[in-house]
Amino acid sequence: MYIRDLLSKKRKAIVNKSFELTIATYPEESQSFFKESSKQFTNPIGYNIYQSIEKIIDNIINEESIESFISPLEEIVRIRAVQDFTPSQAIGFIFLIKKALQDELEKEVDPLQLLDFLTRVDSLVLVAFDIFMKYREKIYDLKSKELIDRTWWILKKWNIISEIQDKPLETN
Amino acid sequence: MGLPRPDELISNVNLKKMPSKWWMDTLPVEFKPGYYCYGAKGKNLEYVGFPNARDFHVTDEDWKLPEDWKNIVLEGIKQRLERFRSFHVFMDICVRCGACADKCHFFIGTGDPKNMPVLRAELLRSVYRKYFTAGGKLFGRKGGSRELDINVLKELWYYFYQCTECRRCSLYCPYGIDTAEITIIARELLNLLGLNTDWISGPVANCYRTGNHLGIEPHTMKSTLEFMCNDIEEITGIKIDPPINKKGAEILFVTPSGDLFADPGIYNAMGYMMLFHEIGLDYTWSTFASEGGNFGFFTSLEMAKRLHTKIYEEAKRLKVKWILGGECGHMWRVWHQFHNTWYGPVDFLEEPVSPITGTKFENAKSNKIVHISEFTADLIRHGVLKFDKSRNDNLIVTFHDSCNPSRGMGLFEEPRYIIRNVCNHFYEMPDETIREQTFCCGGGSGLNAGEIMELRMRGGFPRANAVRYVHEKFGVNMLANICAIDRATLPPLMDYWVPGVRVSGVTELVANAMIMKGEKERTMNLRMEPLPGKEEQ
Repeated sequence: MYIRDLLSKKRKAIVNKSFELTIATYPEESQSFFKESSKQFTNPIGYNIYQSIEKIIDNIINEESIESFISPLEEIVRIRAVQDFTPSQAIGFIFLIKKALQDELEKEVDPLQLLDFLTRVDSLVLVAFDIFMKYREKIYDLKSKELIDRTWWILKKWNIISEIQDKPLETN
Repeated sequence: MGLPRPDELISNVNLKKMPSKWWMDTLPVEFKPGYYCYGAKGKNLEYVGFPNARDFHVTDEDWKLPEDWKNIVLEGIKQRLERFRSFHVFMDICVRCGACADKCHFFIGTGDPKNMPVLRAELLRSVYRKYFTAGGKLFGRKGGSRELDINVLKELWYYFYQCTECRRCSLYCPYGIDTAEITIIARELLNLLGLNTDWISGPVANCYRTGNHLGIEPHTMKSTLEFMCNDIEEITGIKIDPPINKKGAEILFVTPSGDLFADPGIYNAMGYMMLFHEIGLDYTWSTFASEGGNFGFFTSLEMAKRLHTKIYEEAKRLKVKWILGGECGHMWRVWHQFHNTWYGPVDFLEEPVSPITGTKFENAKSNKIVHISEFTADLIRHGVLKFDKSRNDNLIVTFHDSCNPSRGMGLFEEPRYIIRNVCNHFYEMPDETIREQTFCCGGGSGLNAGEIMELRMRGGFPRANAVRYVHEKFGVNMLANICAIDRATLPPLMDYWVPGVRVSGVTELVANAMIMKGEKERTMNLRMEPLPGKEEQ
């Protein structure tokens, strides 16, 4: 059986297992709350992680390009980028998705074929690392922008700084 | 092979492989950058006479506490149990049903069990039990009690500065336990040891000395208002001369000082002046009562009262009839829920009556202050103002209920009524995220400091998530609100989670749409951006 057919058949199991393993990286007392993945507004973390994992698995099944993974990965990574995780923990959930894939596939797929498939899944970690860095840099951008928003207007008004005018000055 | 498998590498996060620890056994807390506010500076604590004034560095092993710090805290608890029946009841009656557990935005955003309101309160309750209840003394840990030691103190500090006092949890408590009040008391206790934050104690000292959190001195405030009026003139052709410290004015106008400096609050301050000019209101700004907000409220009730008093002293000095308050959050909580307990009915001002419409604001009979949204909604209701709503047609607006005006004083309809009258495109966020169930911006109660951006981002995620829904569904691009802290904290929150959504006060929207008598043809909004349809001019 081709991997793709097998993946389609086991889609639900893979999604659920990936989700549960990812949620298992949170404190035990909170896991049952995060697992209520249908509460879009009162449990945005559980909801968004579930939706994104579903999209990631679907993209794998449909053999989509690597670009199509950016958006669902971004959903998860930017959440974990501001939680109590080290950088490696923040993006390491991809290895848990990989584990879920491996567990479901290994009995029925040729080992070499499986190795090739799972090696390709590794590329998602590199994408996730780029996303993680983007959002961590964003945090520092926000800090500096906040400072500018709080002070820039008054610096201009007090003529402490003088910017170039928007419209060119008339010269004769 | 010596290397772990990747899933083993992250298994130290949790993955149920770690032995589960009881919450009492997870000390000491780790102070990670991004999740705790910087400690207070000694000079600011000293200026207002706060105890144990010294530069406080959170990550220092030694917090430089007085030798008898433990007794100070325990005596502080004792005094407050005797003084506040509510605190005593809240310490005793929680049955740990968990109704509040998943209602806190910090818990929803982190999954940290100690951010569950029930457990956050339990951090203090366990100490209360140990020293003030027979059960706690007898049964020790099994009775849910624990000794107060330095690690417990640090834990209290860490988690009570991860509560924005938004009171969403209280809404769901079957016993009506107000967890925000527990946080207020916990912070008072910490304040007894000088364990305050820089972001709170700096503004408190500034406000006490200069009259506002930012330390804007009178001449600067005057110039700032005049700068704004220059911009107003450029936009509308109308010259406004802002009345400042005007004795005998009918109304004293008080708003948070954030609106005098920071983007986008400044546009709201311009809006206030345009509105008052248009209706010919006899009002005055004050350079002494130049702060509606009250960061003293995040230190101790006494300090809050000291700062609040200046507003009434100024009302007395200027001989105004009543006070009009701008768009602010906790300022209204102080006014609505604490003011009357502190002072009783104010006996020297008049019951507020709108000089324009004649409306008597009976709800303000006791403390003589009217909310700008009530005042503006009343003007609109009486047809006093004329609007060109199309000037806001580039905006697709949603409204964020600020915690204090909504949950604290039930102000739901007025801002919505105003927005519907000045904007053509208004969409509500989902029901479970607005009105009394609103989610906090993540930066209230003095937690809008820059150094805790990560904490603010995760705490504000439930709010942002609901904004994103209306952004994607209806194209919402403007998040309106009536709170200065919202105006400061929501822009970065939107930048992180929902790029493309900007933030504004409600009065800014009013002033953009308002047709002023004698104005020139407007081509720009208050942000000096072209109005819809005027892009080419």
